[in-house]
Amino acid sequence: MNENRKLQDILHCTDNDTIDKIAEKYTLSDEATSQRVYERCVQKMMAKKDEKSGYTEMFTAEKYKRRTMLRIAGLSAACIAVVSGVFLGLRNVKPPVPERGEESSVFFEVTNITSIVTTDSDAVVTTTKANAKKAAAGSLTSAAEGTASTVKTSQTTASQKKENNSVISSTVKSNANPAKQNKAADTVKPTTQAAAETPIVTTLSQAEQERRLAELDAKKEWPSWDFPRERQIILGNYSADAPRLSYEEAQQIAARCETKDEFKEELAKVYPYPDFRDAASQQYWFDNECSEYLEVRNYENTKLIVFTKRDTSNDRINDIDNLDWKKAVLIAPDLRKLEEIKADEAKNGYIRVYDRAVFVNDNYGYKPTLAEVRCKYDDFAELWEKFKPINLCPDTWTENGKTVLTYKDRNDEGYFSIVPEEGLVTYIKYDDPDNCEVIMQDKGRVSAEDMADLKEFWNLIVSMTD
Amino acid sequence: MRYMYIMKAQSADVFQKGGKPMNDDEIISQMELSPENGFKLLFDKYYNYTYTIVYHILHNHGSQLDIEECVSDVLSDVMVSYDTKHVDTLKAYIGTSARRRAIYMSRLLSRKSARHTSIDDENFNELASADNVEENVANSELARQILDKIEELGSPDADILIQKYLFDRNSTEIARVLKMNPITVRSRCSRAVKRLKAMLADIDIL
Repeated sequence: MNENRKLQDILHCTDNDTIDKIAEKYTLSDEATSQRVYERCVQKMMAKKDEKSGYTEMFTAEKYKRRTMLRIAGLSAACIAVVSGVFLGLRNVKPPVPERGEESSVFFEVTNITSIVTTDSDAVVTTTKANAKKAAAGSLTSAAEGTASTVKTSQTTASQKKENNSVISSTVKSNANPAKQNKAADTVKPTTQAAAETPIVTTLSQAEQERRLAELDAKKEWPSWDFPRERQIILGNYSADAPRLSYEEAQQIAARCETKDEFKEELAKVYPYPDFRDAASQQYWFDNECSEYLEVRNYENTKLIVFTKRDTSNDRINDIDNLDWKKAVLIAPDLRKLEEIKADEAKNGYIRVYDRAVFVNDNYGYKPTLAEVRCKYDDFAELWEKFKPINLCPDTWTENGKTVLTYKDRNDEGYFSIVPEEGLVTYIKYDDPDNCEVIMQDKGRVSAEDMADLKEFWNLIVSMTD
Repeated sequence: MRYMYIMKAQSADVFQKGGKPMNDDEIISQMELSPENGFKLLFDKYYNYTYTIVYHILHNHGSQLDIEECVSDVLSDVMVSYDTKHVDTLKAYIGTSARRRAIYMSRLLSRKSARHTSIDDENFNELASADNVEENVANSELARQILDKIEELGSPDADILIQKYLFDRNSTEIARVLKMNPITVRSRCSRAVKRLKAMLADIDIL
């Protein structure tokens, strides 16, 4: 160990020329790291490009002037079009004439109801409603951020408006009698309720918005992290009450799609803003607490989409994210093939499908300890049940035609190697690779049928990925 | 899918059809004509180079993520800021950028754990740099000799030893990079170290 350390120390003193030579000759990084770095580079370049173009706009007076002129010309044209449209419209307008023997109908002509702004000490709530009939006939209730403010719009007098400390901008013309208006109010009521159920976009005050955005940014542990849904809600572009993805809905969408990319597109159509995004994945939380969520990974070889459950009390599964893989679903590269398996594990368990025969992913592998393996399992079938690849994520490869699974030691001192065909379990220490410790070798304890089933299942998974 | 390109590029895309490596001028012209292709070529050719330099400077100060972040900083900076009419070669520019950025980052990272001492402190004069220049120079020469010997071991043993001792990686990580079986890596590593010891003994280093 000391010799190793000494050799490392000496090699770390290498001069720049030697380092240059090494860099040219040797492959020094794995594929996943390259991918990650490449993606980060692209992100950074995009950010720098945006920043740069922003400065260009700001400091290039000529461009700025040209844009301003274009804007003025555009606005003038729009104004002329609107004015001429109004004139033409007024010339053609005919008032509705009631038929003989009938009472005059209720007729609301509405030009605009733009917004209801209630001034509140905590936040400014802006509600936009396009349907003025509903506003004129009934009442609208807006609730946001625990501050419920009820504003009656149609019959409210100017003094009432002041009392409510509300600004109501509306133009409602009515030529109906009051009795008919009440009747109309009754008929319109259900649609008003329906409108009240639609998500309400909340706009926060500037200070509040900045504070929340700062809080959001503080949650980012890594520059590529983002919380698009929350960000859009704070910015007032998305409703806090907008429905969330559910497990069942995700399953339905997945069933309609054949590839992961298709699934991603379909998902984005319905839910444009994931709850969490980083360079590698997007997460759609099933609830605000993120107790369950769908994770779509961008470039992982496995083309995994997993449903997973966050359980911080369980730290043995994954020492990075504390993920519980009990409820995980994989959408394979080819869903139809996955469907053919008809395995319950495909829906309830966690299956790892590899694009290549060899793929290593330490992050999600179960890491047992030597003591755990030694003490708990004295039967290979039992141990295999624990370690079989449908539940866990080992590093796998084929050696001499036999599948070998390895699981890293939790203490990162060594790893377990399992050869199902031989019923062989060994433990190998990194420091002493030549002396591997045989923990179990009991081929006879696994029935031929069990082994055949497992082998068949394994082959099926491998064949899917070839 | 484009990422698959990156690793394949190590053996394929940086080479032109005739088997001749893509030179800097061609990469620079691609950077001007088609930034996307240009960056791919730049990344393919210089990712390893940048990573090695950055790792060499940052391995004692930062985590793997810090190193990756620094590498991506350097390469994206080069892509955005490199003046294609620059007199220096692309390699020299990247090398210098990588060293400066890594040193800057190492200072930032060290600052977090730095100990502060007052100038008025009576022990102030006794403080010295942690670097032993004389020893470093000697070790540098020794390192060069050892690396030459490691190179003589040939592939993949040389690759394994470089990964293990220069980049402090364990067998599983090496297996991942070299696309080998970890058990094979371990056994080869063990044998390669024995051979290296013998070779170093021959030239009186051990």
